[in-house]
Amino acid sequence: MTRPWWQPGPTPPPARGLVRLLSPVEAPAAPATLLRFPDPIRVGSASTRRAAPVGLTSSRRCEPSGPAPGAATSGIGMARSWRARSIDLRRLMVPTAPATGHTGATGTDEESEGAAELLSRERAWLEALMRRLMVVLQPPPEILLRASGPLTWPHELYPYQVSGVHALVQSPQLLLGDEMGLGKTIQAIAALRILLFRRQVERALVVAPASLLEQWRMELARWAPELRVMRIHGPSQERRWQWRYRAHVSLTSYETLRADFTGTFQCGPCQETWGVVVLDEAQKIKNRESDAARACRGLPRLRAWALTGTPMENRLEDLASILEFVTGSLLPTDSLALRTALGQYQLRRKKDQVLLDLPPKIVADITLEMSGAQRRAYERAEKEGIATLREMGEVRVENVLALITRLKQICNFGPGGQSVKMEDLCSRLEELSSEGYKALVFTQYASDDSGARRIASGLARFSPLVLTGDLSLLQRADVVRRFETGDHVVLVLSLRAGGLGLNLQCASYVFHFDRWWNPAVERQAEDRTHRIGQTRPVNVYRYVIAGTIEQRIQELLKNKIDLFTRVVDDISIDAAKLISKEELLEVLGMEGGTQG
Amino acid sequence: MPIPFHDEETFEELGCAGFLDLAAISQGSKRFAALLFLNARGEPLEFAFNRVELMQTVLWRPRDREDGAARRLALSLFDAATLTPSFLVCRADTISPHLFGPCGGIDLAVPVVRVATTADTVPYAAAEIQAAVETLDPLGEFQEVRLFWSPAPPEGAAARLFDRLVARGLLLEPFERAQAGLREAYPELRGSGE
Repeated sequence: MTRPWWQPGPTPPPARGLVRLLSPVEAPAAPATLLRFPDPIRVGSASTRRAAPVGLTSSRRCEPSGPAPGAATSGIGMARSWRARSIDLRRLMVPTAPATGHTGATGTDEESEGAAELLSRERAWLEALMRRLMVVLQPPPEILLRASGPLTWPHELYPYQVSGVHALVQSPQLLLGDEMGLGKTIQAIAALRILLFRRQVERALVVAPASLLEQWRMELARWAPELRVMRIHGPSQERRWQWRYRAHVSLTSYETLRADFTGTFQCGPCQETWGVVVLDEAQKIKNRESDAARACRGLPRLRAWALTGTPMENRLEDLASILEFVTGSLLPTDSLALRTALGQYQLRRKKDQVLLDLPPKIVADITLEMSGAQRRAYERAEKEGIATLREMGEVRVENVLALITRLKQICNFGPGGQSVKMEDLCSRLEELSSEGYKALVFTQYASDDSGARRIASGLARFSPLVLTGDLSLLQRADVVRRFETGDHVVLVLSLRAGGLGLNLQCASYVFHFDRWWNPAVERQAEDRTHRIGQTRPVNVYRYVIAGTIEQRIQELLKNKIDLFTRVVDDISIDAAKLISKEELLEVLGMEGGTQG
Repeated sequence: MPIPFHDEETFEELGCAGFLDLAAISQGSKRFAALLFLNARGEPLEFAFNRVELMQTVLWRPRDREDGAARRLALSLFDAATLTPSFLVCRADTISPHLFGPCGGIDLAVPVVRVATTADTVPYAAAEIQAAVETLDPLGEFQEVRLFWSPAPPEGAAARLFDRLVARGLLLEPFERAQAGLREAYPELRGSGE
């Protein structure tokens, strides 16, 4: 008998009774489609199982809607078609009367139909001529953005967006740092459309996080439907022709750009000078030494726009890296030089300055007190943890952070499941749901014990949905769709998974079940709902447990953040990285890391 | 001009790969796991699944409870499966590097590769051989995946099988399929992950 491919190792199994093992025989009926396939060939032929890899399916779905590679591609379609025709000026003299008649055609219906067709054709010629004249006359963006202008827009832009588009069109180098939710993507698309329409630009490249590329594609289809868009992704042999394809706008992710960029003229991203390169969520290149940052800076380009709501996350050098891309030159990293460069290249507006009609965001801290078993468990864990740290001698930051994490988790849920936060949250949701409101609950943890799933199980009567990082992007989109259209009162999100790229204006209440080190991350999360399209005031509640590590960290962070508001007008730094080990120890009541 | 051609037998000769997801889904104290066998085309050949329930006892450290459950789950799945994989693929963030191997809980005669995206922070053992490949994520985006081989990467047909799976974007996606299989097998899981 041959040796099996697996054997239990020397480690003794856990004591009996620890694990209750259900044999596959005891398990529920196996899915007929998956359990066992005696004939592999037959399995392969079954349509339900012959699913192509999801990646391949998706790549087909995302293929461009424009003409195939190799087709005539330069310029915008309408303008090109004009070149192919000769303009008959006599036909343009025909008045553009309504199709109901007055063309001199009398008699039969056929004649009148023929006249109407002729009129409609001639009206189309006139409209096309007007567009052509617009190209020749190069009207300013204000005219092109008007509803009565030659370009059709799905909505009228806000005045501040018009000025933003104007700035983008006029500035070859710009850091558009509008606060989140003000429509940076739309402004960039409108500016691209105008530049392409006026033939000032032939091709544009948009680099964005992979999760946002689909959103870009949809917004481009909505705001600039005549533009050919190519998403560059997939296997390397496909990406080779995708880079060569002469789309008006090419979309790619930072990862793909990093992989395809070699710095030589042969590589896809460098084969041609881009008319515009747009970096969305430009904080992705905050590390100037990263491959992605190098690739972005190395792109041959005439115009460079960076879009970000959080221009500085951690350090001043982060800002410098983005500005180096925008300006194309090396900048000193001292704060004076950066402030000068910011003033020159940054356009930043805040919601309270420009969106006077946006409902207010009301932020309130809810300070609660633990009691009973939860309080005892917290005090015991804190006491034992500090004693352990003292015994360790040389305390490492990781040890301190591990203890802080443990204590924060107890602040969420005690060992027996007690949670003062959950009690308060349930009572508030009762009231909100009865009035028809929806709420988002953010937590930094996703676990069953103290995170998103635990919270969701406690909120079962509100039919919650959960959005955490372990869901695929398609699953996340499905959760958002169901939350918007269904009867679900609450959506529980892990902070990192739900903080970016989601539009959740249907909710007007936000709860931070626990606090994150970085206020900018919390604000990003809140802005999923406090953005254009929100019609109701947004109420943000942040839970803090009195007399615990949560309250002490909150005070420490507040002091740190105040130091940096002088450099950039917004709090967009990761204050956690500015906290020393000694300060962390002080939060725990230990003095400067010394053993006491 | 040579014409690339692979007949059915070519794929069969490559054998199959086992995708072991020990922390596929957890629900309270229950842990669900799956073992999915795929051929070089990504077609499912066999699917084994099981669940365990952790005892709520204060006498065990949480880490030990989880490790013990993972070991028992893995053993039960290997026992239930009839196929022998050319290699075993696991998610690095869910399986300890010490589960398999001479000092671990289970001794395997086939190579094991733990996979992780570059965004994951994962522990690894010194004896593991690290590598990286480019593959596709479920959305068709290019993605770099880190590999931790133990004891060493396969050779011959098994290596070719691995290359085909990578080329078809079948390094991470099968774990999603395994989870879907578990949801089909256990009705109480159908609402989870939403």
